[in-house]
Amino acid sequence: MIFIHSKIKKLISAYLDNEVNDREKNLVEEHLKKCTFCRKYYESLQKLSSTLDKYKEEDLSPDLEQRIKFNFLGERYKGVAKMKNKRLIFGISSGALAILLTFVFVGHMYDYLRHSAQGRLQGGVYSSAAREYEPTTGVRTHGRLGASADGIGEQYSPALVSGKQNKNDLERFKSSGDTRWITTTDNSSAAWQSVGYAGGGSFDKPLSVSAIEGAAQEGPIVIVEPYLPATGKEDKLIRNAEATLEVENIQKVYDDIVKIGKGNNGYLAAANFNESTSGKVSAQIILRVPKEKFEETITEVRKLGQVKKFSINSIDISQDYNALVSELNTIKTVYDKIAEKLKEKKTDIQQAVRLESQLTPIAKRIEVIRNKISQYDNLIAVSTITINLYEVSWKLMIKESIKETKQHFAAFVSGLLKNSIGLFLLLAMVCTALIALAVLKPKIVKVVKMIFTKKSS
Amino acid sequence: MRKDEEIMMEYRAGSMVALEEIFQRYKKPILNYAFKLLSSFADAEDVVGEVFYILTSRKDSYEPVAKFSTWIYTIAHNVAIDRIRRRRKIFFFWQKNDKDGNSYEELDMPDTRFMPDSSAQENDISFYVKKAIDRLPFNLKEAIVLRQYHNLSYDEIAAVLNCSLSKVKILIFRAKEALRKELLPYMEELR
Repeated sequence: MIFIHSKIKKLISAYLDNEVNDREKNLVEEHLKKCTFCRKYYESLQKLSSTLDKYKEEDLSPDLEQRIKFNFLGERYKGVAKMKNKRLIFGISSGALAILLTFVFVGHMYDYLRHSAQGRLQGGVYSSAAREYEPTTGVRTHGRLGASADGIGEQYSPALVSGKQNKNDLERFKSSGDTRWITTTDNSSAAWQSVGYAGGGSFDKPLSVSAIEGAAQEGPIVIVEPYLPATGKEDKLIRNAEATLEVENIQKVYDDIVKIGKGNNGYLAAANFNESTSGKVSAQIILRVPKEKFEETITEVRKLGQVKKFSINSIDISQDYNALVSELNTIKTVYDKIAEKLKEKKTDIQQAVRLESQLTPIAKRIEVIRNKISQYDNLIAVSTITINLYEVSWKLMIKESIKETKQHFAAFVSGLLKNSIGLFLLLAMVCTALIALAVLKPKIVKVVKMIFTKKSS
Repeated sequence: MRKDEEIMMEYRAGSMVALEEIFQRYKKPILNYAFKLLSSFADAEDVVGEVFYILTSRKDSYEPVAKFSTWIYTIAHNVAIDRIRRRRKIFFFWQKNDKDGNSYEELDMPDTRFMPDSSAQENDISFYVKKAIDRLPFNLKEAIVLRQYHNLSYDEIAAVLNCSLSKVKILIFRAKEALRKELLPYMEELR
C-alpha cells in the first residue's frame, strides 16, 4: 500500500505539470477519488505551486541593458572569450613546460645518481680497473705482478742487459722520474735462478733511483722488459677460481656441484658444512677439474645460485718452470759426462770414487727438480674451483632490503637537498604541473566525456 | 505572435531587428534563471551578457529542428555551470559552515536586495521562497526552476540538462518534496 502511495505521489507531481499519459492520468484521478491522504498531498502541491509563484521576478538594470544592447558584439563579452583562449594557451604552455621540466629533472637526477654510484664503486671493494703500463722511458723492468682482481695475470719476460746499457737506461729512467719493479743480481749468468714466483720472487721491493744507481755501480743490473699479457695457451698457468653463491637449498646445490665435477672429469677435493648459532647454513666446496674444462665448469657452477662474489686467479709459473727445465738439462749434461767417464774404465779406483761422490748430489738434485716439474705439471693440468655457499634467509633478506631501501631513499633525499638545481627543478615541475592541471581540468574532463560517449554510442 | 524559431532564422539571415526582439523576449527569463541558480545578481547579469554574446557568435550552429527556448536555456545552463566552477576555485579558501553544519561560500559582496531589513520584508513570502530554492541541491534547483518559472516541458528540461526524461521526473518530484517541507508553514498562511 505504501508502495502504491509513493508511486502515486510521483505521478501526482507529473499530473500537476500535465506530464502524464492517458493511462497514468486515469490512474491518478481514480486514486484521488478514493484516497484522502493522496488528495491532501495533491492539494499541498497545488498550494506549493501558487506559493512558488510569489517569487518576485527580477529585471535587468537599465544601464546593463543599455550596455548589452549597445555592445551585442561588444568588447566586454569578447573579452570573456579571449580570457578563455588565454587560459587555454596558459594551461597548454604550463603543461608543456611541466613535461619539459620533468625530462630535464629525470635526466639531471639520472646523471647525478649515476655519478654518485660510480663514485661508490670506485671507492669500494669492487675496484677492478686494470693497471696499465707504458714503458715509454725505455727502462726495462722484469718480474710479474700477482694476478689482478679481474683474474688476468700480467707477465714479464726476462732479458739481460749489460752494465753499460744499464747506465744509459738508468739516465733515461731518472729523467722520467719513474720507479718500477726491478731486480739486481751479482751474476748475470745466474739471473734466471733469481726469478721467483708467487710472492717468493726477486722483485718484491720497489727500488728508489738512488738504490738503482748504487746497484749499477756495484755490478750488473738485470732489467727486464714487460711482456704482452699471458694468453693462457702456451704459458704455464695455474688457474684458480672462487665463487660465493647465495642458494635456497645447500644440500641440493652440493649434489649438483658433485655432478658437475664428475661430468667434467674432475673430483671433489674438499667439502665443509657449517651451521651458525643463528641457524644460517653455509658450506665451502673445493672442486678440481682438468684445465680444459675450467671455463665450462665455472659457467655451470654460476648457474646454481645468485652469484655474490666471483674471481678467477691465474698464476703464471712459466719462468720458474723454464728455469727448472734449463737447470735439469744442464745438470743432466754434467751428470752424463761424469757417468761417461766412469763408463770408460780408464780411471783408477781413487778417481772413480771421487767421481762417484760428485755424481750422487747431482743425481739427488735431478730427482728434486723432476719432482718439482711433475708437481707443477699436476697443478697446471688441474684447476681448483672454490665454491662458498650460503642459504638465503628470507627474514634477513627482508630486513636487508628494508635497510637498503631506507639508505637509498636517504641518499636520494640528501642528494636532492645537496643538489639545489634538482630541488629547484622538482619544485618548478610540480608547480607547473599543478597549474596546468587546474587550468585544463574542465577541458580534459570534456574530452574524456566526449571520447566515452562516442565509444558508447 | 511570431515564433522564436522564425525570429532566430531571421537573425541568422542578418536582421539586427530580429536580434533586438530575441533580446527583449529572453533578457528577463535568462536573468531570472541565472539569478535563481547563482544567487548573485551581479553574476546573473554577467550570464545574460555572456549568453547573448554566445548566441551572436554561434548563431550559425542553430538549427530550427530544436526549439529555440531549449537552445538558449542550454547555453545559459552551460554558462551558469562554468560560473559555479570558477566560483568554487576562487572561494575554496573562504568556505565556511553555517549553524547546521552545511558548508556555504561566503561571497565578498553579499546580495542585500533580499535581506530582511524590516519586519515587512520578514513576512514577504518571496524571501522565504528564494531561501528555500537556494537551499536546494543544484540539479534539483535547475529542474524545478525551468519547470516552475520558465514553463519548459519535461522533454525540454531533459534536453537542457542533457539527461533522461525519467530522471527529470524524479528531479522535479524531489525538488517539490523538499520545497513542500521547507515552505509548509508559509503555505498554511496562504489559506
